[in-house]
Amino acid sequence: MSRPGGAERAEAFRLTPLVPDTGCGRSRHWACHIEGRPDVATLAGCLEANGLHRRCDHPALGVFRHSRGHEIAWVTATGRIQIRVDIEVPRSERPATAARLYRSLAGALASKQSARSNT
Amino acid sequence: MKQMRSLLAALPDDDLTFLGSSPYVYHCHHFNLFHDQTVDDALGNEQAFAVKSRAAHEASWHLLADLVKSADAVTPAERLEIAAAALPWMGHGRLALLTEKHGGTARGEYLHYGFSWQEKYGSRVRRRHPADAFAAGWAAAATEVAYDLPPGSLRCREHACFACREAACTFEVEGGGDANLDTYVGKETFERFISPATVGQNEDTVRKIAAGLKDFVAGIESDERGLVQGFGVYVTRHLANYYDQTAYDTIHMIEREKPRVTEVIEELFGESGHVCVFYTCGGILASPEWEALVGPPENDPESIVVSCTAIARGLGFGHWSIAEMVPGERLVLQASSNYEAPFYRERYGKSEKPRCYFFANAARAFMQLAHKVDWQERPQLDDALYQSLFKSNLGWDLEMTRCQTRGDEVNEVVVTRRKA
Amino acid sequence: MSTDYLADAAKGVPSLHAVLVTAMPDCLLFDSWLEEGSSWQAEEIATYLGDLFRANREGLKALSSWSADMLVTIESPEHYILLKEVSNDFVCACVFGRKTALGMARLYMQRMLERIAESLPVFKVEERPRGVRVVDFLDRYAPDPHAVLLRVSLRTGVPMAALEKPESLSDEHVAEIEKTAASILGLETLNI
Ligand SMILES: [Zn+2]
Repeated sequence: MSRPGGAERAEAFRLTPLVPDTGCGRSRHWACHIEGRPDVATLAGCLEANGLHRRCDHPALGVFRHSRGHEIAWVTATGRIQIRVDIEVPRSERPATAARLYRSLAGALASKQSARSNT
Repeated sequence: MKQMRSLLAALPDDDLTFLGSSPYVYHCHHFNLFHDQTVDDALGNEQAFAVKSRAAHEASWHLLADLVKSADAVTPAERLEIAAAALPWMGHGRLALLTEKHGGTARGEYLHYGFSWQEKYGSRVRRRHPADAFAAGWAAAATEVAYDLPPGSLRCREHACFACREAACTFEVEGGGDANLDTYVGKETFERFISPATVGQNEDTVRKIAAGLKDFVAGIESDERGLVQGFGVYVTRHLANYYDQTAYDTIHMIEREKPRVTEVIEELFGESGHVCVFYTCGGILASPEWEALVGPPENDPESIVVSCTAIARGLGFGHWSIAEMVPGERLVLQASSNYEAPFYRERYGKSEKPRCYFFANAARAFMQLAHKVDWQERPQLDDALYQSLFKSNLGWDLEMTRCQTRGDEVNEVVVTRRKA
Repeated sequence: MSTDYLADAAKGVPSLHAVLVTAMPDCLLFDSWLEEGSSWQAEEIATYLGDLFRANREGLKALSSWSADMLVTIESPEHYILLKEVSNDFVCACVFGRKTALGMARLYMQRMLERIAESLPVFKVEERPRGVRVVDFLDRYAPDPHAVLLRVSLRTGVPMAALEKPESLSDEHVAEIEKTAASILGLETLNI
């Protein structure tokens, strides 16, 4: 199958909408998917620029930790993303915190895409 | 923490893990809270705190002694420092030990029991008694080890607790302890009471998944609060002797003093097996970690039971194996080793009846998760789902057919579909 | 569950989603009407709204500003929820969509209540045994409801077989389980 060009490839890294994920933690876990397969090192670089560092460097799994304790887990093979809001965020603020993390991830993907399409 | 890691030991074929010679397992806060609550219900808050902190004291003392020895820590300050650093590694939170030769105080933050109780129940129930008996026992043992005091000479009480909406947990360590350190259940005890590892159905798959999981959980680090979070739960690397001693001492007391509710307490300790399987095994199966290491779970009862058995091994519960599995009908689960039976045999001798409550009820919960949860829909593993699966009429009968506490070769439980 | 007199009273009232009659003081659903296709759980709503009404009544009594014809109004983003006592034994809740003006909703409710009050059974609600109410309370509010009766049994020594038939418990056992229930919930006394 032929790969689409730069602009459409950028499109291919889109995130699906954020929805509550499994877990007992009362609005702490949120899910989305990366459509397409960005490579690990570049995405890690982008997230690190957004204040997250890679906590788990298993080849099949990236877990990126925010200085406030939030985490973004990414299953590289399936594109599954789990956003974990830190426990000390009050329950009522967890959805908004998750949404902020989601936007920062989307931003990281967008910057990665523009880096790609410029090359 | 380097010192703790240097103590890691195992009987790998038997799926048992040790810190020095102390057996340890991974359990989540749902299990831990339910277990302690059953002790509280049985004995009343005050006596329960004494029983729990004594068990914690006895379980911790040997670990702390191994730890300071391996670190070659000589001064009390060094030793207290080591004890304070070990607790967060185990996921129990932070405990500052401000004790001297004859006692003193300690102050805890994010202590596992109090903190997770507040998170789980705090908005629904006002708690009026402290939750951190484990930390109390730890503080007493650490002080004895730090100052070379006679083992068991101190005790510790918790005066304020985060679970009771106090800012932090505060403890007082003082003389008058009654912990008994004469007998100890360690690695050598396990070797005497377990049997050669059984080979069950799907053995290769179970072994392979368990090995991957062991590697993975061994690498999990606690956060700056001293909490270990994984799979949607707070995990502890907990001393198995604590669970065994609190459960069996409490059950024996009920058998002596309130025999007509013996079955009730057995059911409640068994219920904590359901709680563990639902939240920990369920949480693991639904997690991104599992999806990355093994692949997303499928709606296939056999594969779920295989996965749960591997998870039990991976968490150090022992060498559990599937002797027979007929989807929709029947599971025969065996354990040639577990963390319940060796403790029982060493401490109390042979039992007249089967007593591996956790193992047996976990098997039933395996069947419930395997048949009643839609894994492809990525279920919300919350209280509501728990109630719907475990509140009444599970639909599975349970029989403990063999038990090492009774002197049988292996532990065995038969779970069968309840006839309508 | 929908009885003719409620359906009749609700007929033609615009934007009406639900009418619930709750028996007091137990806050249990007595009767209800839900618009067709509704996915609400009448029992659950009746329970919570009953609790809310009772708390409101106690609060107003404490402020010495309570009267029996008090109307409680809740304005949520999508609904107006109106609560009013029909008699000592019943509270009625009506849930309106916000398309109806609040004043109109109140007027409709007043008219419906007149009809409902006429149709409610004239006999007093039979008081359920206290043991039953304690067990219901635990089932509704205790953490881990799946295990709460086992916990009560373990704490009190009252066998499970007896707790499963709370209507037949002795006064002594009722007093004991009531004390235990309060302790499980961290309450001084049970408000039942
Ligand atoms: Zn505490």
